[in-house]
Amino acid sequence: MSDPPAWSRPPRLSSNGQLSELLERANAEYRTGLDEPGAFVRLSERLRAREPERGVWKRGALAIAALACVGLSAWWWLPVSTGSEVAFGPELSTPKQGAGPGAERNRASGPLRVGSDEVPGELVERGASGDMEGPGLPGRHEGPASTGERGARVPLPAASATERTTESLGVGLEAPSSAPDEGEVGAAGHPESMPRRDCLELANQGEYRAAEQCFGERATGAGLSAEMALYEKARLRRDVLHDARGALEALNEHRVRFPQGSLRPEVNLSRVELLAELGHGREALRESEALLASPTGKERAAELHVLRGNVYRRDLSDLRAADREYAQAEQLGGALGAEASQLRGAVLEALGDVPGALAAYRRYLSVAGRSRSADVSRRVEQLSSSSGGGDLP
Amino acid sequence: MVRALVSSLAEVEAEVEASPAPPLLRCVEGDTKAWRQLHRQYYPIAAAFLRKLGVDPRDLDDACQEVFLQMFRYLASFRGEADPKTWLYRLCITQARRARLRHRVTHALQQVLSMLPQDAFVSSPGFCEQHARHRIDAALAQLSDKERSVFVLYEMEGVPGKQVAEILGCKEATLWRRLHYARQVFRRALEASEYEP
Repeated sequence: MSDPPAWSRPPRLSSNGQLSELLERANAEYRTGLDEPGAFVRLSERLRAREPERGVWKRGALAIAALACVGLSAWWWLPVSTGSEVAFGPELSTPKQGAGPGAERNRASGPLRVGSDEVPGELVERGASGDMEGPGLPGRHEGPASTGERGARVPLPAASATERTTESLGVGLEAPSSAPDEGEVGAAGHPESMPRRDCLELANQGEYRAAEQCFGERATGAGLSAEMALYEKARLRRDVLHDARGALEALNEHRVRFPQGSLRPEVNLSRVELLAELGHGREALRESEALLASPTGKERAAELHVLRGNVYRRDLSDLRAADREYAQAEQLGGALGAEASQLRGAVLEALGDVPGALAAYRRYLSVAGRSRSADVSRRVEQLSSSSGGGDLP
Repeated sequence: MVRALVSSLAEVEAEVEASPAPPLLRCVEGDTKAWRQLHRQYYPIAAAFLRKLGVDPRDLDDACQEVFLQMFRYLASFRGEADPKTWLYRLCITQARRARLRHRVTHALQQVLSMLPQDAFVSSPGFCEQHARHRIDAALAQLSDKERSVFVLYEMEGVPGKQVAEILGCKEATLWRRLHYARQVFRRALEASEYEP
């Protein structure tokens, strides 16, 4: 092998005519046959699959961090609990205690007076009465449960309810944070570090806008918890705030952000409902048609056919098409099948097909416990008498 | 469902294209939608580079996923000072090394068990590009891992020498020396392949 020449930037091989063509062709070939969208979907699935595992590690790490901080705070308090009165803060200073590791933090946390014999356990009690503020283990939430107790070191009274709610949201309860100024940091920092608030509790208390904002904050991250929070936000807007447009926006965002999300089937169905509700009949029909071809759509076919029938009937005034949809829903049976019978009766009546309408109404009445039985019975009587005798098949 | 997915990808793409900031920086800022654009931008580069580094087609998907997982994992620590491609190439080189090692172990095991046909590669001389790639692949296979990385980055990816040195974590002089030897081996391998039937 020959010795290398003096080290200077050599001309590239691609400047050589024959080699240039070969390299260029090979380079083109190296880039062919790549399925980038497929790779992205597979990557997303893998990332999602890793989330529960990461969640366990994250919770474990946070629990360890919390324990470490409890230990640290105990170590921090011990040196300052010897004087008759220990003052923390710039206006009261004691030379002995001022040099401890907690002194700097105490100064920053504002005035705080504790007795000589106080230990962290007792501080908790005093904190609960609201007569002090300062560092320590803050509550996880700044929600209604802890309102007016800024910096108080009391466990949330509704902790178990909170846990249940967060679990139902897929948001694992994290170990209590040990940072004394978590509230301030969280408010200005990343949503992940924001204090955990119980969004559903807010909604149950009637603070719908606050709950909406809470879900919005939770939904900014990635993963299942964010996905569920975004869906809950949409539900809140649709069912409680009666903001169909806002709900649709949230669901559209969900579709974009979580194309392979776990709640995708629910989101698709809800979107179809909202589209129909907002008068986007054609779009609702298109979407529902695509859904009907999917496994989820097949499971919910009766609902979808009724919904499509309603769109044809109300928005497009296409009663024939509505009848076809209701007929399909009817064939599927169940409670919705019975509802479809009644709707079909009304459509057939409007189309002038009295025998067909009567038959549909009677099918509806044959199913026990229908809510509109009385109305439908009266209608059947009227139609029967007007058609002469009512001896219809 | 596929149609819905494609349409949602198109929506994301339309949305992210409207944003002026580079996708990597937006990813760092927590914009999850920018991930899609980031992947779309860098996946072809990463995949082609991994192929050139000799990653087996069967391992390519896994290697690519690992590259992007690493990228996403350490995205928060990216300060935007370096060229993202430098980082990408570095991740690819690491993954290619791992993939090659895995492949060698698997290959050896399979040969022992006589499960793998001895000549798995079928050339397609009828297609110019494929033929060219076959020849380049064969020539690159003669290079050591370090020489191959230098050669691919400088000669095929067109990365400037200084950046190649940065990616590989070596001095520029070392880089030119490696390149010199890599070229000699590459040329010889290429000439030999011309006489193959």
